[in-house]
Amino acid sequence: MSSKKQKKFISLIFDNFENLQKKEISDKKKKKELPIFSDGETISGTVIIDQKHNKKQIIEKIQIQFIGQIRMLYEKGTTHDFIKITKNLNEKNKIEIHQEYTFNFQNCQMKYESYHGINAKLDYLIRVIIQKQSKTDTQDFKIWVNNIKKAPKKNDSIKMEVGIPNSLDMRIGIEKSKFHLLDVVLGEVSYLKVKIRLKYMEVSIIKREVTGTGTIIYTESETLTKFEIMDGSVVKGEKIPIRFFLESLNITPTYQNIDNKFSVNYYLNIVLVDEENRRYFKECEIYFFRNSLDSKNKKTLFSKSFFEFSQK
Amino acid sequence: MSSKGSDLTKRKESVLTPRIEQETLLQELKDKIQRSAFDMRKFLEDEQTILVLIKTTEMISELRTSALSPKNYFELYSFLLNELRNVESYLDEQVKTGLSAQELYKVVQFTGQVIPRLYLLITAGSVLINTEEVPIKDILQDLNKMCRGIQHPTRGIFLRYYLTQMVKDKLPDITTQNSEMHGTVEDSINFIISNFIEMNKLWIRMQHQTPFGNLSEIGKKYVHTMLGKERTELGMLVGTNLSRLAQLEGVTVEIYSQNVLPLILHQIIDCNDKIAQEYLFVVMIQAFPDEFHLETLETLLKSLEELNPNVDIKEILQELMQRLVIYFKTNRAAENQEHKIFTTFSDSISRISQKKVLKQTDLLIILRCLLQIGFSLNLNRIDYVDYVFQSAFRLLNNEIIKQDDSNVVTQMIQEVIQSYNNVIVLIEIESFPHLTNLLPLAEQRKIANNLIENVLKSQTIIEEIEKLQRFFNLIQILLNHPINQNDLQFDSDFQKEQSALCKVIHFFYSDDIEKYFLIFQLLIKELNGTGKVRMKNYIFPLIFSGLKLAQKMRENERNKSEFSISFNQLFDSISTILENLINFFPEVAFKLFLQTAQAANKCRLEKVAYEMMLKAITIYGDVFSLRETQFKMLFSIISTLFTLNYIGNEYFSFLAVQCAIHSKKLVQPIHQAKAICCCSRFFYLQDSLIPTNSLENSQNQKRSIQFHDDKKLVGCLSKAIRIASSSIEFPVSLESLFEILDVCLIFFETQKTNINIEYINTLIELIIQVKEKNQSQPQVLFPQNSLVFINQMIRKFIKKKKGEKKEIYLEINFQKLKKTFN
Repeated sequence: MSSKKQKKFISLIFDNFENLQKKEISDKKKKKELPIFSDGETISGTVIIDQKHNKKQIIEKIQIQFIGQIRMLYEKGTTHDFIKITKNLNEKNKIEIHQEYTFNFQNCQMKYESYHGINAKLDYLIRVIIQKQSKTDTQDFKIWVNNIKKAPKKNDSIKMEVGIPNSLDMRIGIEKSKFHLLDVVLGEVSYLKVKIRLKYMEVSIIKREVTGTGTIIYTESETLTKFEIMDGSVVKGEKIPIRFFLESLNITPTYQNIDNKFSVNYYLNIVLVDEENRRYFKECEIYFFRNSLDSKNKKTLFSKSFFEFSQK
Repeated sequence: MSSKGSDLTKRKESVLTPRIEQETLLQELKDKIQRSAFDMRKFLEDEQTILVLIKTTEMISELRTSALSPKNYFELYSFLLNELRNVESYLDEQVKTGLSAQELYKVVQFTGQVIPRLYLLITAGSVLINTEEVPIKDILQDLNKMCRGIQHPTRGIFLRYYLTQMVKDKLPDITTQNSEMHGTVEDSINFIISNFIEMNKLWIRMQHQTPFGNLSEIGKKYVHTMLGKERTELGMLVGTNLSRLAQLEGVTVEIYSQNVLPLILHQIIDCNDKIAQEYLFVVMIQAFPDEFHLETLETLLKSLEELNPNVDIKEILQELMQRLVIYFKTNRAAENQEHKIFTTFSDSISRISQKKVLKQTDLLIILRCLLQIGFSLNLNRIDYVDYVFQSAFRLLNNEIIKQDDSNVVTQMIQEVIQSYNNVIVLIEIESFPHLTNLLPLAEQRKIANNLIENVLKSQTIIEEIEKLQRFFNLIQILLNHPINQNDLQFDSDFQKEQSALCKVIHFFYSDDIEKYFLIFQLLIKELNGTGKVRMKNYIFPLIFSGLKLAQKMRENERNKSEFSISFNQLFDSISTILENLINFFPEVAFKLFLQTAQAANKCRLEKVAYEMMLKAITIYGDVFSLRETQFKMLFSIISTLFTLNYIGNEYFSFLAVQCAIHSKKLVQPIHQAKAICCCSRFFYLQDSLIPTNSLENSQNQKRSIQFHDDKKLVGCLSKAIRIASSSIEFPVSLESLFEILDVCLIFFETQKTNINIEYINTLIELIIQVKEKNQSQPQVLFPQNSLVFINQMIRKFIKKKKGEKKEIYLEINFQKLKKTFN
């Protein structure tokens, strides 16, 4: 993020910032817009050191780093840098009051996406380090990484026949198992045998974040939405359509064992509730991938705010 | 599949609540909608689309209730509908000014609850159709499919009803623009039918998904009854689809029979639900034009047979047939179609009847409808009527047990009578009497009377013996039903029916003698032996029929026609009938013998006439000689005898003497005198001398035979004078004598008898003597009218002295007579 208005000691301007896609995040209760980069892109820009309001100090060395790091929230501050590239910005000792340095990280490796979960956080940042005689100043500038994946060649449909012996037999069919983030989940629930009185049926999307290794494993489950798809007591032979717009959710792609630290998986859960309020459910994993950057196809204000209400 | 016992989101599931609670609840829900609607309208004015949608969702959420009865739910729905229409037109406007209808269609699907989501989707779909951005077919299909999310019967039916209401005016038809976006009428048909099928499924499910909860048995029963009732009310919403389908111009008879009907029927049959099948079949019949039903009649009727056995097919058939009857009144079926239509119905009914799923009465009602169909198709086809009657006869299996059945059969028969209004046609219906005979006595009589009335009214003459026989078969009951003798006087119906029957007999004759004779024989066969009470009525028309035949034979004889039957045969028959009657109704027999005698005379059957007279005299002798009416009876004989101008002298003399003998035997002397005096005239019988009053019936006949027996003539007169002067009281005796004198003068004028001047004068003297002898008794009052009569006679006599034959009166002293009575 640039700091033009408020003169800071260290600020950074990404090249072509205005034209970059942005990701809005909230960091320490403040809303920020981060530039979005993808794996293999070059990150370049200008670092500005402004000493106007500071005492003129002797700067020994200015370094700039490209860092990819994972932080486990339960580990309190420990970070694991899975990538770190360091470059020196100045060779001389002399420094002006206002000095600008261009930097350039060619074809950065950013195979993981940025992720802010419950227990795990994956961030990419540009760190500026100024070594002085007495102390070292560092400033981090976050970027956001989204990686567009090609649609998987193999995308099997989901077919499940489930039931309760002698009282319920149903077939759940979902057209595919892998979805891009603005995709629509389409399917159908066919009832082959119904001997109980159902009250309603809903689908929910469950996000499961698994962190840790070995014996210490933390699993956080989060129901992202409950979406009622059927009202009333169904009978044999009926086919209930499922149509669910993922667009209405805040989801990430499925992350599988990121740097051996964490995984994020999504599940489609079909829940039946009978008249005695007994719940029956069937869960199956679905995979999400990104086929466009977040801000492309950005939800219109119209649909977004309606969605927010409709989920209440 | 896993299960968890507890649930946080508890929904209030329905158990029908009492009426007052229902009303309170309805009001509460309405208030909630009202509040949301108030906000909604505000946002609507500010064009805050998002907020409008949010408030609309809130409103629709109230339709999620399960606690309302279908009727109250309908009210809630209607209440909401007004608001939804506002929303729709608002969104329509918004779309015109830039809002993406497709985006709208997508976004409303984000809604978490299924009911608000689908109501909004339909609303958005309706807006989307207007934009013509997406083929209407796709939108309709999508809406139809998504609505499957509501499986609750009431809520589902209402949702789909909303769907039909919203797209009602947007459905493509042949009259609308035809393009990819607008779609074709087939799209509309497919949409409506699939929506119909889904609604029907939900509707049927209501019956089986009763929210029993913990109700007692009685409670369950109550709920069941209530549901059945309210379910029936919801049928209207299901039926809307069929009405809309029928309104499509593009649903031609070809499309209907090939594409529409099979689908509808399949659904109706498949659902196997009594209420639905009954209701929908009738709606279908009412919604589509009659031409369509005619075109698909066979399919329609066959499918009826496949319905649930509890379905009241009668109602459905009745509806269909009655409609067609009305239709045929203004639209004649093509001639080559008529028979096919009738047999299609009759075959179907016969199959239904064999299945024995319908009550007998219901089958009869259907047969009655079939009869009306037959009438409306072609009244000339009496084989249709015959078919229906035969079917009814077979159905009843030789007996009628129930009142209902007999009512229907009676109505049926009466309709036939009224429709044809012609007995000649009716009697051609072979099975008519068979069916009628199954009815209770009273009904049979009613029908027989109807037939008779019909003949009388239309003045139908029946000449063919076969037809007449059939007619008698039809009215047989009137000739033989048991009569309660004691009650007869009160049974005015009986009297009426018998007198009508008597009247009707006069319509059975023919100008063809041979035919007429057969008719007469048939009449004898049918009427003779029907018992005393009836015979008393029938005898007159029966005998007169015979006599009329005789007259016709005589008329034809002049034309020198020859017949295989003789007069003797005919009169023998008549005579036999009358003789059988003597014991019961001597008076009737007596009169009819006299009538027959006259008829025979006209036919110049001397001997027959003689025999008939003889029979009459015998009856008189056996039965009436002791009765008060004897004088009147005897005078009938006497005056009849005067008219018998073809009886030869020998027979005549014998009959005249018989009359004279009986005259002397009369009880009252005055009658004796009158009768004998009258008889005297038999013995000098010339054309000019036949008493005028007896000539009335034989105006143009001249007596061919002259008869003169002077001895008997004088004998009679002398006997009369003797009786008058000695046995009759004064002053009546005088009147008698004057009458005798009057008769004597007739013979005197001829100058050919022994009644000569001396005889007359002696009689005058006798009158004077009688007068004078009694004048000495002053206590005897001379009645004024006697005096008037006598004076008239005297004036008449005196006149003769100045008349044509005045010379023969020269020596007769009328003046003295006049003097005596002055």
